[in-house]
Amino acid sequence: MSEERSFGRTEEELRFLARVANALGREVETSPPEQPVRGVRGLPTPEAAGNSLEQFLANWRAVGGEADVVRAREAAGRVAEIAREWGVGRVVRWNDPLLDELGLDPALQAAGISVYVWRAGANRDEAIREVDRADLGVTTVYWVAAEPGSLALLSGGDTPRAVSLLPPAHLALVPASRVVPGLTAIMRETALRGLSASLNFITGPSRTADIEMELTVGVHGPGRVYALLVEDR
Amino acid sequence: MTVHPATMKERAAEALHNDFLREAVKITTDKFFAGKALAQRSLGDWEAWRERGRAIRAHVLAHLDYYLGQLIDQVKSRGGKVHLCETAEDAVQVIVDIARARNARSVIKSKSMVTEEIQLNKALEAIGVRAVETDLGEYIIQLAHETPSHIIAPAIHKTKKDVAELFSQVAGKPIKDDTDTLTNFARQKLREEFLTGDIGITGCNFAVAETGSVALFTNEGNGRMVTTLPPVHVVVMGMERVVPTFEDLEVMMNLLPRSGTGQKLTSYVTVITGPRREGEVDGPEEFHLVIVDNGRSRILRDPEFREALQCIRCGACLNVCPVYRQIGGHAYGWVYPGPIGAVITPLLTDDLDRWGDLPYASSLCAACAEACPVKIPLHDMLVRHRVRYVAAGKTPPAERMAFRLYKRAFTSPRRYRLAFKTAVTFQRPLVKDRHLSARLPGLAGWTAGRDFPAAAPKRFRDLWPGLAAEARQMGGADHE
Ligand code: SF4
Repeated sequence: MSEERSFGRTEEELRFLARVANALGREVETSPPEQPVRGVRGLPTPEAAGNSLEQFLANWRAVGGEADVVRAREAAGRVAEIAREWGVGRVVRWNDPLLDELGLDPALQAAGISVYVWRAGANRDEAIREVDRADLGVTTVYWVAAEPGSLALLSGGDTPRAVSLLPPAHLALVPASRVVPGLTAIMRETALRGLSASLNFITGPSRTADIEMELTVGVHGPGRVYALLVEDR
Repeated sequence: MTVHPATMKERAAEALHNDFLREAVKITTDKFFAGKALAQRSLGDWEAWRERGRAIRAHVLAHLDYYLGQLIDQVKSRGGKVHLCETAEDAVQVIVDIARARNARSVIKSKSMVTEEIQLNKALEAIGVRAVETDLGEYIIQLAHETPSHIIAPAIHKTKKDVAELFSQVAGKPIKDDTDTLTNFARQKLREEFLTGDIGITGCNFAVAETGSVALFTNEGNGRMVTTLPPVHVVVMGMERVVPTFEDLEVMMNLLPRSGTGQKLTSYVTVITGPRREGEVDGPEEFHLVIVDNGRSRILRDPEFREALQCIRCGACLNVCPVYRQIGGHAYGWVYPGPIGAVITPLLTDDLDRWGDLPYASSLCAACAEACPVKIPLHDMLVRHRVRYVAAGKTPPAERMAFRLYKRAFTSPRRYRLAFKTAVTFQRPLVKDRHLSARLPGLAGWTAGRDFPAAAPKRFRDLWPGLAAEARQMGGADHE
């Protein structure tokens, strides 16, 4: 990336880098070295060969995630159904216009479920309290990788990290058009458009096998994760 | 912390008497190993991927000064602070200062081996800051005042009953010993810690030089909690854990979980780039990257061992190591167990007297090197260590004597023939199933723990003419 590299180096930095260079038997390098190989270029990357959506569903379910495909007009009703089935009383959600378009809040409220929308600049204590006592966090995604079966979420004011993390269940609404065959496209895209403070790849529920190697889900993050793929908008 | 006996031999003896440990280590490593085979297949040409992993890591090491410089610039340009620490003490001091500046009462940690290496928790406790390990396995062993026994599964040596006892003490009432109850209890307890922690500390699986990002691979979600809730996030990284670009991170995402636990990807891969941005309410307002040398430049300087810094801490070499599988992680005595531990511990500590016997904890079967996703020649390095240990005159006298005798015998055909005949004759009363099991003088260190193969009744040399003829008859290649 940046080529001029010597600007504003502190004494401490110069000393540390000189020590490293010295261990390599030379002066500090200031121009970018040529990379003989880079990333996955030229490798057979694991990517969906056929239908990406199908492959995502298979991979996601294989690690214990739940999933379904619905039409846009059915999506909100479906979320309400799932929430009722899971005994959800409180939902916290991202402030993504897609969720408004789908009519999520009215559908949930009609089912007697309260909704807190976490917006940019929200009161921190209040937002954290709400998300900590919510039964379900609802988000969208930036991308979905069919291989290995992962949701990619970017943090932002209206897309906080805590919503997909603190509640015991997480449901992501996924526009089917955001499903890509593998990770490569996502890596390129994220690096190009500039990174959010946090990029999360989520591949199934929170899990541990730390006690006698028995798989348990939901140790810190959500134990139930649902990917609801939304076709045509 | 538990005090482990001083020598490898004593620690191994202790471990060998713990039947649960041996069984647990085997089950765990078998599971990881079986998963690895499966996950590797999903990647197609595994060898090509290993070679790519090796090439990227080797390239970074050859230009580490450049990439560290780039990383520093990128982190700073995104509002993060970088701290460069030559020694463990420097790193501890930096973090203690951050804790003081924030008036911190508690620090919540997501698994980080470097913080074990620099003994951070002790230093924090000394200034009255509670350090809470939040990875379930680490939490358990912290309650038990022990150290991790496996890179990926730190508490495999604990039974459910052990864990229930520890948790019952914390709760002040009995907690049932089934896994769900135990996990639930830990979830609640640690949730309080996440919500009130003043500083979050994590390790770093990889730092991306071109973007100044830090990638964390976790399954439980504690790494995400630690980087989401506290107002300060401190990353402690060994200075070698760099990849050049975001694209290179993808290679590691394919190699690390597959090699370690046999997953295609861990439940979470969290890529953090600086403190929270405008409008963000969660995530830390302060981001610190603590880059630790602590002996790594010594390894970098050493052509015989530089490749050891390619390690991505996946644990695959532990899972396949027959010695690790028998004795578990504690027998290695320090932070890093298994073959990689035996290689880097003497180097990082620069203390042959204390750790020079570690490289003997290996059968040199090379399973470790074969398993390593970045192709570190671990068994060659163990031999190089032994050579240095011997050259430094550190071997036990009996062993030196034995090898002098072997040298005498093996460098003269006449003496060799004589020694062989003598051996065949004199071993007779001691041989059981073609092995020598009695304690022979000079071989006691060997035969106490295993059987020494007896000298065969006929030498291979004597058998060769017959074997070669047989091979020719069978149409095999002629090696004569
Ligand atoms: S030496 Fe290789 S196999 Fe062992 S932990 Fe490091 S990367 Fe994994």
